[in-house]
Amino acid sequence: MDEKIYGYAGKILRVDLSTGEITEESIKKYAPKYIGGRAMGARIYWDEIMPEVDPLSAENKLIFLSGPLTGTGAMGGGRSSLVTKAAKGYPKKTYYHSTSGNPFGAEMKYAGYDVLIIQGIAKKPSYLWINDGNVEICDASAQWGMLVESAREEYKKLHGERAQVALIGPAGENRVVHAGISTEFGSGFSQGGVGAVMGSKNLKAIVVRGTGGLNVADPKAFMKVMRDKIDWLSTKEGETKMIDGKPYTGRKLKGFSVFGGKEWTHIAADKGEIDVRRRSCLGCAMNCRISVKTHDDSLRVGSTECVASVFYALEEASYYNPSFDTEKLNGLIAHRMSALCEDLGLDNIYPFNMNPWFTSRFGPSPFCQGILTKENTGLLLDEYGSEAFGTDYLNALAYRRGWGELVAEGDEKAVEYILSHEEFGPDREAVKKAYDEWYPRRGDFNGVDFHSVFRYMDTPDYNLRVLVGQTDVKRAKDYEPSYHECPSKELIEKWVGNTKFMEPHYWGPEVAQAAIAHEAMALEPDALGLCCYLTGVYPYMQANGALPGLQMPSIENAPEHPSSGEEYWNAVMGTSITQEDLNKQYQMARNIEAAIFAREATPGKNRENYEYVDWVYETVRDSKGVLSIPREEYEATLSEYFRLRGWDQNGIPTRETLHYYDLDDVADDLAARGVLKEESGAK
Amino acid sequence: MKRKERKPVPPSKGVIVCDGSLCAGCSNCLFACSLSHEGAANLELARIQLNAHTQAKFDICALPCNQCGEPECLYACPFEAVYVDEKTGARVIDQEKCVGCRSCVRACPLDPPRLRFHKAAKKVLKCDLCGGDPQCVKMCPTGALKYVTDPDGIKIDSEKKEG
Repeated sequence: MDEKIYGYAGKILRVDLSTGEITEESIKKYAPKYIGGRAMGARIYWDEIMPEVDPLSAENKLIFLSGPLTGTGAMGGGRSSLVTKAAKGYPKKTYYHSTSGNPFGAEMKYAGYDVLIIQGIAKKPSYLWINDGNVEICDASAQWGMLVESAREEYKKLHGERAQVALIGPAGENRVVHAGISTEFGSGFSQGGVGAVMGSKNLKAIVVRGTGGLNVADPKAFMKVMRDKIDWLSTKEGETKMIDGKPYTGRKLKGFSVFGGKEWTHIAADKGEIDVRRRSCLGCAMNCRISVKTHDDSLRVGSTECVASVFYALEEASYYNPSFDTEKLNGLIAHRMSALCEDLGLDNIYPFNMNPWFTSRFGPSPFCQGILTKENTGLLLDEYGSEAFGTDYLNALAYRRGWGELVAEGDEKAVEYILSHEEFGPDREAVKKAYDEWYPRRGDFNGVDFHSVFRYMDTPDYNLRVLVGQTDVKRAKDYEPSYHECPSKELIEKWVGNTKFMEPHYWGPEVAQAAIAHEAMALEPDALGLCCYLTGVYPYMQANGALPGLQMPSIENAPEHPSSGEEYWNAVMGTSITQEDLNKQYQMARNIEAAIFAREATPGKNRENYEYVDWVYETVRDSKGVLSIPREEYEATLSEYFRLRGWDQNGIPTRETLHYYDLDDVADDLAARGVLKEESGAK
Repeated sequence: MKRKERKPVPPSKGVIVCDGSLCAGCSNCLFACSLSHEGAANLELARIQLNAHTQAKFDICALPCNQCGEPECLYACPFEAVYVDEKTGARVIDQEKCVGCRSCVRACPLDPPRLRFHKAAKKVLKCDLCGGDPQCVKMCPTGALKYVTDPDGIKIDSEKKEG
């Protein structure tokens, strides 16, 4: 056995479902050069998943990764990553990085494995049982077809309640691209169609139990960082504490609210209709999950705080309580729909108002326009918002029935079908516009996610997209940034280098600079194995009210750097490297990802992957004051972003840049493929 | 092996208690325990337990050692390795004397037993109240864990049940 590296468990486990071969490699193949979830995941993808690989083929791989801080007790260290070629994506498929806030990754480490690579296709329904160092591919015929909760219970009966289970439901088994991989506590790897990838491998579940520990170089220093973080996050409103020698006063924590007022889960709890309690992820002080159960125990929901749990709440209210009388809301049907989504193995975020069919962004949706009817979809559309509609619709999606079959391979296939079928009426052209509004990207990899500020990290241009998202957020004419629960301008200046980017509708070089700074903060938790919702990676979204204090009691007088990556790292690893050193490693991850997108893009068209369809530039304003993105200013900002990154104007890292990050072999590969033009960056 | 006589021992001067209504099941107490005692993040070696392993479990709570008034672990040890710490009153295990027979683990009336068997070291681990400065309590973010002290002693009798 290799000498242990602090923080890491030490091994990569590879399981080939086609051959049944199970092998181990040392984590030193990648660590410490490529840090944890993000950098290591991108590097393994670069090495092993080629552009021609189909997501649902034996050659695609599910790469589960943790970070060096996952499972150590570091704040937010309950999170882990999954990298694969996404089943979603139009017209091409590409790299996808997903994270889940659940002890699955930590348990993998306790079992001895930092990384789990699953490849091939099992001949019959199977599941993987990892019990410390023992790994078996087992028969899952008995669980194939089962709903998620029942199957999880079954596995816990077989392997003990402390085993962690990542599994798919019928949607993943049926290779529906809206299928996710469920982990416990209302969490999962949900988007990108990763459940379909797992289903295509005939793999129902991965069950892990680990009893090992993780070595920490300086436990005392590590516990001090833990304690400072806990002090900071647990400070109550109005309370003042001295943390790390500085006074810190707690602020009011605003909860997530669908209706803008008191959150409906709490209304129902106050009325005694449901029981709620706060739950935490592994090793986190934030406790941002709210578990719900009804008194008769007919409904239990692991986590309701995530947006994924509330996507039927507005529908429920408009059907049963059109006056939106908040005193009458209890959201129980929304909870049941959320639980059913999870049980069927569907990504909760897709089905209802986060797709092009039922909620249009800037006008009536195809459903509201009457293009989708009960007759041409087979859905109970005249009862939209009811429990009956939701139940029927979700089952149709998971079992590919009627409308479900139409969208099972992606919304774009449904658009094509509708445009060529007269039964959808003379106005059916409008579905193309609705689709473009939800998935407004140009280029190769559209349709992976919905266009919103929330999910963006899997995309080539994710940071600029956040800033585009801000443009949406900023759209109200009377918009005034609220600094009530945001980092101070001084702090943002320190983190980002400017505050000019925050001005409404501003596009310029400062936006590019802010995008890169934001990327470093987003890359850090993903690489280290921390929670991206906790460690302050979203200051801009907070600054613009997109996530009003969901995760931060306050970051007004927060630490110098929001995530303490450097302090945690040095305590765990026994090193004395600086945040700048770490940032360089995070930025390397970004460059590998950029190289992947460049390698998989249509030759010469990679810049388009960072651009938008025309309406984004053309819709100037509507009655709500929606502003378009000015095309020339956006293009100039994008060019500046590429320049600062050390990429060419097609968004491809230059040889010089790749050399700086010690990625010469990546440059060689890109050059051999004719993607990297040597004259653009060779020295 | 013959059990020794059950001589009364003084009650512990300190006990860690958990308010289940505040506990969020974060495991920070377990991390604090294993990091401070073993220098590693190892939930299996924590001397405090947690019952929050499944989503279905709603009434979650951290499960510290009760430092029982009548410590079955102490009475069960054939090697007299369990003794009462003078300063805190905690029932602690002399690691030199412990041979890892696990009689104490079996004798613990609580479920799960608050004593843990360290497979690699072949020793049993037990809460020692960190010499009067329990790290789990310090690391509890919600205030669910409290360290209750009384110089005259606190006596909790543990019935054979969870919690």
